[in-house]
Amino acid sequence: MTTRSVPPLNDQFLRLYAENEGALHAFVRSLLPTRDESSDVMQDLAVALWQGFESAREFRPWAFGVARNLVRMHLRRRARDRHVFDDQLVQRLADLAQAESEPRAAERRALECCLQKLPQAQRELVLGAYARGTRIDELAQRRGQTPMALYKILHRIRQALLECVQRTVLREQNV
Amino acid sequence: MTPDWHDLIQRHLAGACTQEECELLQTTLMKEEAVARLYLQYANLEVALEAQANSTQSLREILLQEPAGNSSGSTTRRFFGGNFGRWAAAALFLVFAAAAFRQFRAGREPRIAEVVESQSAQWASCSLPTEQGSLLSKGTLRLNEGIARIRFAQGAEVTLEGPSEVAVEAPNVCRLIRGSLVAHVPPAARGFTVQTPSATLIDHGTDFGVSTDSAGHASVHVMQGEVELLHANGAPPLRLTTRQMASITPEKVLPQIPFHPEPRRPETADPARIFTSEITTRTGRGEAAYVSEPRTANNQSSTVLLLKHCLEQGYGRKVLLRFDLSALPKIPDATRARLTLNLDPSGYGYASQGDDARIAVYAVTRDESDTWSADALSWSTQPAFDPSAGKVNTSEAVRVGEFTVPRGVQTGVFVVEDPRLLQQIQTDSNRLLTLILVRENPITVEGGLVLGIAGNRHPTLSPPRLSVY
Repeated sequence: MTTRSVPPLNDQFLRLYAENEGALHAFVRSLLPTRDESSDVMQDLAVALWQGFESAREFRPWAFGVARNLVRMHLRRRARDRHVFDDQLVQRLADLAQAESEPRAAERRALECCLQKLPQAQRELVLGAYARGTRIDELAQRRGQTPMALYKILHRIRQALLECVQRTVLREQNV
Repeated sequence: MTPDWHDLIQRHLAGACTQEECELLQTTLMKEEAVARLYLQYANLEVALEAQANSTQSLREILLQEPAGNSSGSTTRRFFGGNFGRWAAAALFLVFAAAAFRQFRAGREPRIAEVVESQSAQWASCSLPTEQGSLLSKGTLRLNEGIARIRFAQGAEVTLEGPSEVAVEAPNVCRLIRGSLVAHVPPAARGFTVQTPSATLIDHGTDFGVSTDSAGHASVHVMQGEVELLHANGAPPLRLTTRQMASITPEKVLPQIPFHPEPRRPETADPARIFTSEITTRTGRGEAAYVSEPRTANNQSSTVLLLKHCLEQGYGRKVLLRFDLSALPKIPDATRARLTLNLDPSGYGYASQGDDARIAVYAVTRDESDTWSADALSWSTQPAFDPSAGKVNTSEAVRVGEFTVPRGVQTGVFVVEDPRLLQQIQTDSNRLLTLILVRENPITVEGGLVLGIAGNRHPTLSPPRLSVY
């Protein structure tokens, strides 16, 4: 007779966290107007989830609920910021993000390939813009451009990347 | 004209929308799923680009990495395979070490709760901020009066009623040190845990109230749902459901009591067992005094008993209390004893200087030492003398209790209830009980507060009182 042992709680948590980390990060980022803020909240989220983890509970809805609360706590101080969504919209985005976490994961996987398809200068520019510590105004100055002109270039690159990953995922689905 | 959603979404994610654009986007996100999906796709792209640009691996990628010398097997197999534990441990270390380092660098603890609302709240000194909207990391809140609502990161809400003291421990855990709280726990926060001195309450999605004193007498009242009660004595868990109550002592959970719409607090859990016997330091041969080190000659008081322990030598004070136990009516089945003290500002030192004061109470065991006279006392001739202001000679005295005066607090009633105190009262052979109070932790900064306790000659406050019931 073979017996199947229950994986230790650490393993269960890590597996579930690993499976959902990308979706949670994208959801948190969708509610916060800056990258740094979403990194801060993700750190708090990892600790909060680890401390409150229970194997019997369904992980994803619970983790999204905790993420929502942390974002809400984070945003309370700036409640009148025009970029802050109301609770109803946050709930809607949470529902959609949970329902479509697989396509988003596929898009994240497709990104590397799409980056390779960009002309080298564009690839270096976009990765430079997202490197930690980069300030857009300084980057624009180094390139002899206005920040507004740089924003516009980055908008176009992002749009091209998004369209590329959408196409790639669609093609994978049809294969 | 249809706006360019790609442009608008990107500007929103960069925090660069105008008021009108933000409003338009938010309305559309509610109504049009395609735009909401595009918005989430861009947020997803942001996160993925950031990871690519900084070569940061997600936890999943770390877990999926091939261990050296093992190149076979599908992704799924590797992920769930036998090496998972090892890689999981390594990944756990990486993720949390990174989080801890960033938090350390940013100089902050993870935020785990928030003060949502407070009404007529008067806070005692706390290790956490108390303003409405404050984000809380791990620490202690002390509410003297009024109510305050705290929301934990996992969604549980706790309404704290003054006077209460609660420690915020984790996103789904708090510790009620004394006082009362009512918890509302939505399904997502199931498992919310309230620790009390004698029991742990684990919530299973419910509303419940709990009151406790610092010694561990508590009552739990489930308004709706289910609560699991684990007593510190290790007894099997007790499940309480809607409209059930339980009373807890430090020793055990008392037999289930019927629901009462006006739950009583633990202090008055049984009205028949009111304090039936008490004396003060003014009763019979009672006495209350303090002794001070030589350098304190000018800073004295005739109405309050002074207590201090600081690093700089020469400014220590200890309090001595004598109770005439022969005046205490006998209660053969007494189970509890209490020492009650009234604090009053001494006028010396600053309340903001130093930490919480940890006060230890000792009972003198040498009968000959009980006959001290307040006028003849000196630093070196006091009973159970130890040269340190924070200690007594433990060959002549035993510890019978302790309490903490929070930083900044100079007034209020402080109670020591301890079985060791009851035992000393019951076994004292000459029926004179001398108690010595010392501040154990020294004040390490200049100008620290001298605590004042109302003595026998205080114009309004009662002197130290001993109660047995």
